Amino acid sequence: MATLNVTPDSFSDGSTHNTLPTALAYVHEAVRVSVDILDIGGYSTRPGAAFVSVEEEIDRVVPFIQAIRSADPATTEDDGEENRMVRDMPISIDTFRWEVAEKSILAGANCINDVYAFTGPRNYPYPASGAAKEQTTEYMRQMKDVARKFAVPVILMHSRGDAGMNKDYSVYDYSDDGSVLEGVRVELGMKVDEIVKGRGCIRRWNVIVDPGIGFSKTVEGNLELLRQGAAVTADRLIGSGSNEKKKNPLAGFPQLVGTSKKSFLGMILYDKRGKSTEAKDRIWVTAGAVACAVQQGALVVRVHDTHEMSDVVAIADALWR
Amino acid sequence: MRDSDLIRVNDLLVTVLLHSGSRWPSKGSKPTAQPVHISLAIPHDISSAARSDDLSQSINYSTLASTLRTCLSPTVASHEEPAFESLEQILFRCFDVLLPHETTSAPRLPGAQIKIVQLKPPLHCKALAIEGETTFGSSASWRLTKINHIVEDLGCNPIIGVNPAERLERQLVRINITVESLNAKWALKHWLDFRALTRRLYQKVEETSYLTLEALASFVAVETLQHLQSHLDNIADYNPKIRVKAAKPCALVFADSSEVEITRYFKDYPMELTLASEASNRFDSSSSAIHCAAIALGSNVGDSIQNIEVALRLLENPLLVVGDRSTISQNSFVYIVNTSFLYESAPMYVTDQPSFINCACMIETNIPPVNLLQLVKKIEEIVGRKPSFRNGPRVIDLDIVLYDELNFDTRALEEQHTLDNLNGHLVIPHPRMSEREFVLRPLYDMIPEYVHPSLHKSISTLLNELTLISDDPPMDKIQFLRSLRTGNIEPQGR
Repeated sequence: MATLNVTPDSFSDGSTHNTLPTALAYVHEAVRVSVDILDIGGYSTRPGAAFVSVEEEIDRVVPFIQAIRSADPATTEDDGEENRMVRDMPISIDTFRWEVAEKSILAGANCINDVYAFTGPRNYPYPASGAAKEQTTEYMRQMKDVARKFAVPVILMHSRGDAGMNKDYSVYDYSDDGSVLEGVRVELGMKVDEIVKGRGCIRRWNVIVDPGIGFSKTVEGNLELLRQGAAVTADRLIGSGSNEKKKNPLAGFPQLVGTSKKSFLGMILYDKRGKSTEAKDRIWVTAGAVACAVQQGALVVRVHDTHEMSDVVAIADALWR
Repeated sequence: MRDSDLIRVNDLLVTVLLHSGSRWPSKGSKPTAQPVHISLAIPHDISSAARSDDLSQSINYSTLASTLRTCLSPTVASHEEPAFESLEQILFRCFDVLLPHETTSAPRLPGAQIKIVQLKPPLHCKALAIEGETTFGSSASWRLTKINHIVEDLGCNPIIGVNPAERLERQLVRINITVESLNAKWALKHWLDFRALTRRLYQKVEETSYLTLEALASFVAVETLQHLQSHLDNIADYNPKIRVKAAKPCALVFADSSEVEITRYFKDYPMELTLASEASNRFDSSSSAIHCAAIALGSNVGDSIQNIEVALRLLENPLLVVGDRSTISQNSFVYIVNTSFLYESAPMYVTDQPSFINCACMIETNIPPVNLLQLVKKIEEIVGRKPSFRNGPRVIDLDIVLYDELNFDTRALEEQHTLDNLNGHLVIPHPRMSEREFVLRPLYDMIPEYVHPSLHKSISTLLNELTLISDDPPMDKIQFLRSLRTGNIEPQGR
């Protein structure tokens, strides 16, 4: 999955692909290295990112989707073939808003990628009542409706509100294989259960889960999720105490893992080598993390540097899959 | 207070006439003469006899023994009397003889424990026994305080064990069952049909293929409780305790056997012991009741994932699919409340065709099973089931696999022994589900702990057993990107 952030402020590529020509050039590059799906986002999840209205988010993403879908195959022979592949490139829309999801799908997107897993921005701590609960319930209902109506796959990510906060997973210390792993299984599992079970549920086969690396996790927590990624979706029991234990609600779901250029990689590099990096300097560290995700069985890796990471995936895949 | 002293007679051999037969049932109405062992224990304070060393201070066991023999054995005159219906009757006769009514002049005993062992019991078991304990209450006659029914060493040969070799050959399992009733009043009115119980257990256990003795012992407990429930009125109210021991003599080289012992009550099996009548009433009585059913879907023609999506959408619109309101009434509803992953599997039975895409869903509905069958058949027709041969290509195939905890068969009772006449009929649970990974694996995604209402095994166990014996590679899960490439479905108004 190739990331295309059409925002002026996204942390890693905000300023380079937010015009139509640069974005299209990026998609052509993606096609040439056999990227499977393009992820378009118009509202940065970076901590402290500026608020964007629904209308503005739609206005940012829809023209890009339309431009990709109208790539003209009837040009010269070589370009025509590549344009056809650009036009047919599967697109996922990175949004937590149902209005944006619906408009994007109508413009030609095929998949919803939601960092809040259909519960909206006010989902942590997960509200039990009050206005926040009403808001999460409304997001849940509307997002499910859109996903059902168009029968599109959805990517549901683990997060805990502001990505830079809420990094304490000690309530899950009982788990034998890591409190962050258990935290993701329990917290994302609860949301996934709400989405794939009960009246109005969406099809289990249309769900892909994302452990949310870099979202409200410590450096060690992120490493734990990478190192033992397969355990997130393992068929095992979760919970503590014999009465509380139940089958892992994430068992069997395919995983998407996004590590590209994230700050915890930069922190490790600084720790080990005393080297300070900007997001744009983190291509090689990303390669290490991507290889690990492939080894742990991830179905999709979400990256910015399609050219380099296609090579990494090819070798990791040959080694471990 | 110290425990009472006991005077015993052990294994007194007596010949009795039993209408319930011996190894084989009685011929005609004639009872079968056969040996039984009677053991009795009489509580009696022996301290004075011990001091005086005088037998007259104690109970003369020789008299007890001869009294019992005389009362129970056929008389020389008739050869056909006394005859007994059951072991219970012999037991009660013993109590009558030993603990007579107050008006008689015989010496008064404070109570007795008696065990009757049938030495030549119905086939496959080593012995049957009944054990009773009585005291004199405030009333003039004896009071039964406890009764145990015992099946000793029922030998069965199921497939059992986790080792590959054990999946291929049957092996001996020895089963011991004790039904303990502290509230023994029921036994005064009814007797336990040991022959029917041992026959049922022998047949059912031989059909099983568990991996563990634990599962087998639990299965035997359920079967025993079900037998009690169907043969003895209100037996559950008396809350008998079932103790089951299951031993594998061929498991360990340096031990006689390995064994699991469990103790169970009716309350331990709320799912399995729901009365059949309750289950069938649940959907007849009111159409507002919500039932839960599992439906398996399969397709191998055209865009299979799209076919499945369309079928599911139709399923949730039963009033649009079936116009006949006598089949699907105006208030009918179907909600899909869970779905499995999608799987791809090689075709079974007829292999020269494209592979199948399979999945399953759980629904909540108020539509009774037979009407639900008509709904799914209509959906198959709409989505485009072209007439095809059995097990041949399918645009879409919908099977009702489970419906609540129902055992349901629309065929006449005498036709239910085979699976060759299923056409046009509905059998729930789906009779071939336990041999089909493409049904079990999707169910495992949703309801791994659901217990099959007639096989009494969980979905998880059934899947485990199937994959253990099968050499086929496991089915492939259809991954996200494949469902993505099938394109979007146009939004559809309701």
